[in-house]
Amino acid sequence: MVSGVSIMTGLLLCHAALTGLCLAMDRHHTQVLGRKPGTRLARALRAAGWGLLGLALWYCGRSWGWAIGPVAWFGLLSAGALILVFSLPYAPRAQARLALFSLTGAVVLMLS
Amino acid sequence: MKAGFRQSMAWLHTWGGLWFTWILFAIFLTGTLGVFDDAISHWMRDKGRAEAEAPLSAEARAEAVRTAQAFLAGEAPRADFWSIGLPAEDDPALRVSWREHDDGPVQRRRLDPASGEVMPASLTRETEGGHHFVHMHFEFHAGTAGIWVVGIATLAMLVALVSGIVVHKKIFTDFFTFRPGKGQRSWLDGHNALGVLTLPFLFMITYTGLTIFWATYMPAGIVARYDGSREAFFSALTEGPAPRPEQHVAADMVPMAPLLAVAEQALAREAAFVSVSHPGDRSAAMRVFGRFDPDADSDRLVGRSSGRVQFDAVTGELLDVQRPNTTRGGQVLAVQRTMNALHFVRFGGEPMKWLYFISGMAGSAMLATGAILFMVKRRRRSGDEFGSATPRVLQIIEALNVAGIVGLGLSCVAYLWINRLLPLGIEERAAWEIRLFFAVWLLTLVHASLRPPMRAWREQLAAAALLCLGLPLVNVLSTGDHLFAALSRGDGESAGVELTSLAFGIVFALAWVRLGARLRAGAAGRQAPGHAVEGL
Repeated sequence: MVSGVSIMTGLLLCHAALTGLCLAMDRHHTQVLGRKPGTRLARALRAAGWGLLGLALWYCGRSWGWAIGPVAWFGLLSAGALILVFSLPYAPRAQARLALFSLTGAVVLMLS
Repeated sequence: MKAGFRQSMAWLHTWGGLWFTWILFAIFLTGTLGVFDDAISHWMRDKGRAEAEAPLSAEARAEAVRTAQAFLAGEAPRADFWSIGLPAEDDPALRVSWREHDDGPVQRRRLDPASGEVMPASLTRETEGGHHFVHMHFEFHAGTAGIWVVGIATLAMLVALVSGIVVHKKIFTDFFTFRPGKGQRSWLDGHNALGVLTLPFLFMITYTGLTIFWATYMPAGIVARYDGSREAFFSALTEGPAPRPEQHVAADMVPMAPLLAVAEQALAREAAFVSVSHPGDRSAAMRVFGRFDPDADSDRLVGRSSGRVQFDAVTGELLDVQRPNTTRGGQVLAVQRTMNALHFVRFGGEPMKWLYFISGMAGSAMLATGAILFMVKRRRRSGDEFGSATPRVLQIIEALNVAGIVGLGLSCVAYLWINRLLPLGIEERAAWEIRLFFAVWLLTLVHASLRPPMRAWREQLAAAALLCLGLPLVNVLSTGDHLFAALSRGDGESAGVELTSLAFGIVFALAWVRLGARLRAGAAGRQAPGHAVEGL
């Protein structure tokens, strides 16, 4: 049986990952931080985003087993993306902080 | 040529989507509610405050089967089938049902397991519970015809998904894009975002929904090779016991209680349910089903089952044993069963159900925004797509949008109200709940076609908000149970139903407020006609 903690951790990882990918795009970086990202920053954000997506997949596989893990991963990706996309226009400035919060939360939960 | 292809896909997406959108929305919304059918049934039967029943001992289970067999043999010594639901933790009654002929009505009784007497109906809140939503979801309470309607709509959904991806020009550029408050643009953004972000789920749930009924949708092989007998086909496929057609020769049945112990030993699990096909006939067969254990093997996707055992009910001979969590019928059937498990969320427990619920609601919202977008575009500039009948057709589409979207939501929560307000002990109470659900839905359609569109939207949103927000109140007034009591006794199912209802109430109320603000802004700026309506 998978606990609520695992699902929270997976969701936080997915949310942080997707926010990373989102901030790697000029339009959204400007929306959130008021300026375009440099090429290097954009590349770093994209790499962090994909890396965290991979980490989330690994985490889901480890928590649910590899039959159900990928299903959970897709579900958490959708949930994380919905949170991001439908809060972004209403609270653009908060998104970077939210992502850091998600990332910290996920790390704390994974280590505890 | 490329533009031509995209244009024809746009045409297909618009019109193919439109004519199926209401039926698809109904399938999605009721299916999503059906994810929590057990919790909804738990709330509707007012089980929260019932003391959990002590598990029955093996002797008590055998005694219950003895009682049920005596009762059924008295009521219907020869019948098409009998079924016996053994008393369970959440229901102390012995539930028996039978059908005399295969086209007759199913009779249901609740027995006191101690005395064998029929329990008076007035004591129980008789209801289909959350199963009502599940039946709406796959057949609209219309049997095989309903399954075909749903199947055709499901194909249309796959077509709409693929054509939608082709039409969507900038999936990756617009991946995270939602621009609210911009009228038509916002509806399109919302429709795209909801669809794209849940696309894996949408494909999975639609395709697996179709494959559940493969034997219904693709009967040719069974008709050609097995004379249309599904029983014969599945018995060959799963190397199970041969089918036992009725022989119309009377035969005495063995006492079933001793066989129950044999079955439980073979399953290594407690029995929950017993059925008999053709009782009183030479072909009578008894099947014993194991109790579903949500925790056993919950990390696997393939072939979770509770197990079952089959006996010859005349000789008592053990015919077949399928142990819990085993598969039979080869890899093709295992793949198909896996798809069923994916569709029914038979894995992963509560957290996974919530993920399905969120994705399902997003899918429903995607369908709703698509239908609304169709009208938002045409309110602004209606054109003459239907010749001189255009205004009338658009009026009908608008009414169907109101009744099909917010009207259905309203009817679903009204169903929970009906459950609380309908007197206990009336004849066919469960059926009346469902009839009244359809009556409310029909009323929303009548209302939507009589009122001006924007008023219809607002009034039904307000009604839906009030019903959702008032649900905890009607529960206190009718049963005396309430949210805080449910929370303090740790009854997540009862509390979950009411908290979810409150959340939907807030969503409906917000939509009502925003629509009102838009309409007032529109009335203030009459010089720019169409501006406000466009923003809706």
